[in-house]
Amino acid sequence: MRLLQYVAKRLLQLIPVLLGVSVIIFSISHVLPGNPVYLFVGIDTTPEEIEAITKRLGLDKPLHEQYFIWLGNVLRGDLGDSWFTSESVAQDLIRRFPATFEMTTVALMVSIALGVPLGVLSAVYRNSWIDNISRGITLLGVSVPSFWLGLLLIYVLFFLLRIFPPPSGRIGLLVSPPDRITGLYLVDSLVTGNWKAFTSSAEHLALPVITQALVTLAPITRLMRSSMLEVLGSEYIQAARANGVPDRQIYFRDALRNALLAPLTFVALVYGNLLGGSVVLERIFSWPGIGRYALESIVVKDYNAVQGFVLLAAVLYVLVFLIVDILYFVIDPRITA
Amino acid sequence: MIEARNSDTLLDVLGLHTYFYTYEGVVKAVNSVSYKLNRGEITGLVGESGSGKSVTAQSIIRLVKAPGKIVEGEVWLDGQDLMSCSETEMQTIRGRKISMIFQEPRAALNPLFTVGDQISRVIQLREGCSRSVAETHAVEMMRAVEIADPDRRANAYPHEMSGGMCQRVMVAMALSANPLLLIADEPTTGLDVTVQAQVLDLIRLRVKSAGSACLFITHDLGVVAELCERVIVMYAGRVVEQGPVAEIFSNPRHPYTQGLIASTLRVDIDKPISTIPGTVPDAVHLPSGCTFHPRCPFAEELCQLEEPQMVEAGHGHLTRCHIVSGRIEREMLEEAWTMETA
Repeated sequence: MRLLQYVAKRLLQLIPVLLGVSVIIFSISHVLPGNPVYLFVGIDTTPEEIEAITKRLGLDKPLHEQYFIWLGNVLRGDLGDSWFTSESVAQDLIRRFPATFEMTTVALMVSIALGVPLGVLSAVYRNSWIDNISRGITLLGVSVPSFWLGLLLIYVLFFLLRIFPPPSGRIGLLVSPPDRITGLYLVDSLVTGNWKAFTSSAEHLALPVITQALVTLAPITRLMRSSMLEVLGSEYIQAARANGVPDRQIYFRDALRNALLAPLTFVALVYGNLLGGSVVLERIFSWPGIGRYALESIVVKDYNAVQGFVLLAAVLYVLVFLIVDILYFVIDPRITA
Repeated sequence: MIEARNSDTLLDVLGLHTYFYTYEGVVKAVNSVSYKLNRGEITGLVGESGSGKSVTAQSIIRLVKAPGKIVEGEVWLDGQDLMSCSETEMQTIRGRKISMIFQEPRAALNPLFTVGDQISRVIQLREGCSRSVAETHAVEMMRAVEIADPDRRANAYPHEMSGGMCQRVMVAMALSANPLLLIADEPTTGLDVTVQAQVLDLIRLRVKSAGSACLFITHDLGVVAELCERVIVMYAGRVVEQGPVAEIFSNPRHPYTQGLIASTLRVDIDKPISTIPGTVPDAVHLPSGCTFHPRCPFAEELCQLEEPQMVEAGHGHLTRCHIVSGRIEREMLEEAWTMETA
């Protein structure tokens, strides 16, 4: 009950945030230099024709009116058309987003699944060989740029060792993608029982996921280690020990839950960023996600597409933080509705 | 050693050394500390901050935090040497034979679990009983330490309770074990005076009725005078004086103890408050000889050169001072303390 109340309150708080975001995004196209009308005209267009186009696009109306028309369209799911792909931006984004979502979510899950235990072990066996190895990995992870790591992994794991397929996108060139249900190849191929598509997409997912996971793993491990160390040094852990609580319980019951609080915010921050698409990795691995879409749209000044992308990225960010806030509320009794 | 351990003695600490290995050097936080605790008695352990009181307590239950290490010494509890126990054995001693109450009750409770959960968990761990039995027992313990409406309070989180309530929870947790030894590390600092008196009453009542011993760490001499039978005074990692409370308070022999007593505020005697000049010495670079000599109004050359030995100064009254042992012939005048600040 308390939880429902809290969720409702947080959802209401999203309204002004998203309105603010929409104002900023709307302003982008009006602050940028250049008249969008010229995108539709040729050299020999007469001023009368330009005026007609301006009227047709609604650009002669006052700015606030234009904003409300735009907002109305956005709320109906109409983000305008991309003049580069000549399709609706919403459709473009919907088609590409699952690729980004699948890759980043799997990568994040891998880095949490490895980073949290590694950080905990590092803290518990401080200065031991486990700690040294994990510190080595994290040092590498934070110092190596992802584009270099990605290229290196392609060179070694594909080119030299032929363990993984070439970086040619989400699935083998000769394998047809699974029937679209969610757009997530792993899920769709499993649901439809398309084993061939499943293995191929899993293989193609491996390299970008490893690259992304190594980069994300490092700070998660470091944060988990320092957070766990701080909790283990706290008075209530000392008190639990003084009460004869065995080590295993100290680590997993008393300390872990407290120690997870700090890295949680960081994970949210990373996930929010990643969902906006990784421009570098999507390019290296020919990954047809929204990061690459955004890059291409910016290069050709496709304003509708850029606006649509920024709006999607902002909404995703806000949603991730909503989920994390709810998690905090569930874990930490000190947070009240 | 055998003859020293008579039936009244519950805890016998012999030559305990606990050092901290820091980058600046070795800190001898506990330096050759020996004392005994008797059954049914509350012993006060006093000294300024940094004198080694808390580390002494942590050493007894072998929970000294890194970079601290127990270097040497024996700790006999009821005929068992704790220093030769394995860590697993220690886990069965902590929370059963020895319980501890901490200085900051709210910090000593896990913020993510209800207080009832935390008490019953300790009970369950010890008794091996079912969850529901432990929960019932926990509520009983909360009632025993006079927490009003314990059934409802058991479901509260530490942040939802006052500091005094949290300290009662800690007391309930510690006493639920019926421990042989209760270590209370400044359990009443930060509590207001009425709550403080109630918590002290609880501790006294339980120690007396159960015939256990209590090591009561404090810097408040008033509390010691009211609560304790015996007192141990520590300075810079060493015990400088110990004995029965009445004896020590009426006839303090070590200049440091005299200074401490002179610096307490008394409403019944009209005298100015004095302070001990100087501060606790740097733990890495302790003064030579008697560590108190730079602050001692009676110090002479010998005090800088040679460390005094513990000597008997009356009925169970031990102290560490060249003047008391007679190596320096000099009168210790009480006026020395009041003059110092006048």
